[in-house]
Amino acid sequence: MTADLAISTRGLRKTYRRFNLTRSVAVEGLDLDVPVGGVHGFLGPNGSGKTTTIRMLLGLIRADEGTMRLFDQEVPRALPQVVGRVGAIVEQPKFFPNFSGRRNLMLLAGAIHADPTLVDVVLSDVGLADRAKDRFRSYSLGMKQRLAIAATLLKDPDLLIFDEPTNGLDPAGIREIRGTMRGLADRGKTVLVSSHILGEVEQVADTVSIIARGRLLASGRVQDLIGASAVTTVRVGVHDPDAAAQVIAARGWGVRRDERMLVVDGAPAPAAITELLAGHRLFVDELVPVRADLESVFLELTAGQGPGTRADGGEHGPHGRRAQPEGGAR
Amino acid sequence: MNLLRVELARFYARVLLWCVAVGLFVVSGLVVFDAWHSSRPPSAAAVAEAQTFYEQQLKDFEENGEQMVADCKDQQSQDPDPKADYGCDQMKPKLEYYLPYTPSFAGEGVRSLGTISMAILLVAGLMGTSFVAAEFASGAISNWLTFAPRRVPVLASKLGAAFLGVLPAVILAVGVTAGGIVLAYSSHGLLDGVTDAAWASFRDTSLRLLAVGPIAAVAGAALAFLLRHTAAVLGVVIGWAVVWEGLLRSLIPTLQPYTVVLDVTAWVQGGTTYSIEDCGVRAPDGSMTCEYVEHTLHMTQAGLQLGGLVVVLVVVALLVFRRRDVA
Repeated sequence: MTADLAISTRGLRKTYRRFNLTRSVAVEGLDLDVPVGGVHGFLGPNGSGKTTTIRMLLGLIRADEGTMRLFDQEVPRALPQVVGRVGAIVEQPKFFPNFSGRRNLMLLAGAIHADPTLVDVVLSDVGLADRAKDRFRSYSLGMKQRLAIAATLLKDPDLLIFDEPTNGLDPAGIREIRGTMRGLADRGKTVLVSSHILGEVEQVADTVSIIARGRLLASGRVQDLIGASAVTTVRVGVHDPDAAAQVIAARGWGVRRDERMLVVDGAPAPAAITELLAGHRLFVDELVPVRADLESVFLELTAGQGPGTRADGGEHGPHGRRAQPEGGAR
Repeated sequence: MNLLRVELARFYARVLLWCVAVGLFVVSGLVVFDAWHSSRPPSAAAVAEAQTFYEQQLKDFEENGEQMVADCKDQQSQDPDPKADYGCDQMKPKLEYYLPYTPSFAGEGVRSLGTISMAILLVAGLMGTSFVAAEFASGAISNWLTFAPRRVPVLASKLGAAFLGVLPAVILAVGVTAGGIVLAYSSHGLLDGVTDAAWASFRDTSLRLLAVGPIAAVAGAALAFLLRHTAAVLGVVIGWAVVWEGLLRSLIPTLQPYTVVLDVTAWVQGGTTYSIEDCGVRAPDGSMTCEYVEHTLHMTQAGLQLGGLVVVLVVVALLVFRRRDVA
């Protein structure tokens, strides 16, 4: 545990009792590290344990086993001391539906001795000043999300936790939330965003952790994880694609036609393709490495590990895969 | 104290609670109206009718009184109970026997004040329940706990807010009821000669009524912590009322002093009585006879039982809320 981690968990475990008295494993031995600063994506299929983990960190539910630390302070024991540095939106924003947005924030401000004038400031920050006196239940989903963000800003927290923040939002709302998260990170805050929508996280996250069935599968900087992916795809332009395809297939790499181009999978590097084809006097006139994206990494790692109750760690073992680039997440 | 202040602000911001409070004032008004209506002096027509009937009965007694008294004493002498008193010496009609009954402030006046106790109990309980359950039902409690993670102070502040929050409504309702009853009896000239003891009884009943509201609100709030939905709390309360206060109380009469209704009545009225049927062989011929034996439920016992029930609810709510996952 070091002070450069905003969040750190070790061996975190949580099970739920079902109606038939069997226990369902939500989180199984999770080791999660979130570095201070930047946006950290917390990725996993639905039911993989993301929200449960966040709830445990916030003291809303009790962990069965394991340790959790926020800013190097053990929680939930030290939560009262550290909670002022943490703002969180867990799943859907939850406020009193018959109170106005302003009144809801006034109550929360009162709980933390915040200056009441700060309420109007944060409402303006999130663009809700005009609707501040309207009842919360009359807000659109996007406005509710913005109110929840305003609530977190009351604390001026060092760590913001957003759990599936774009669920149900329209594209403009998603873009807005993404911009907010990036802006907060650029101001030196640490943002943990859980999501199962990879594209949205890839655009904004600096580092990610990928979990499935309650276990960590991989973590590190986005680019390092993408680079570490086993999937290497290259689009190849060659004057005789049929002959080239035979040569490539004979080498044991995957190949398919895409109009006049070949799409090659499994080559160790693009240069290996040019070397192979040149050896057969087939000269490449176009060679485009297809950039792996977070989604392909995610799908590769979580293949067959959708919502489930078993937590066997999958093929990556209990501690998963960690990209350890220079200066990246550990 | 800060959490308590915030919770009180939330308590008074709830429209539903104001609506319920208005309902309590309506009940207060009805109690006052009933006190005024029932304490009216008899009308001239009623007095004239009573006078006519009295004179008829008096005439009949003057003609047949001796025989009626003799028959009465004869029947009394045949009663196996040597202490039996058939009232044979009071058989001569009196005018007041035929006039409509005029309630006294010391009796009916004080008792009518107590009739609002159930309304206070229900309304204050509902206020406390709704105040806490709304937070669980809306999910706002999870948001709240990310701002105030210490669960014991959170629970204490909500119970404290329920306790203090209902006080103004209860004070106003009791004040309106007590003041209205006094005015009603005063307007009918029934306060002349009211003893100091009667005034003290009226004052003490009012003060004990004030305690019912906050305690009921705390009990309701504690139940809401346990059950998390107003409907669930209402279901449990109705179930309790049907099974314990109704069914079991009828089947096992000795449970009567342990029912909430009787305890509240005893607390408010400074003690009450209840009857339990006692059957046994007492007659000389060996036949079984049954009689109702009156028992007294003292105010102190009732208060301790009610207080104990609320303490148990609060302790259980605290233990559960400290450990329970909040979704």
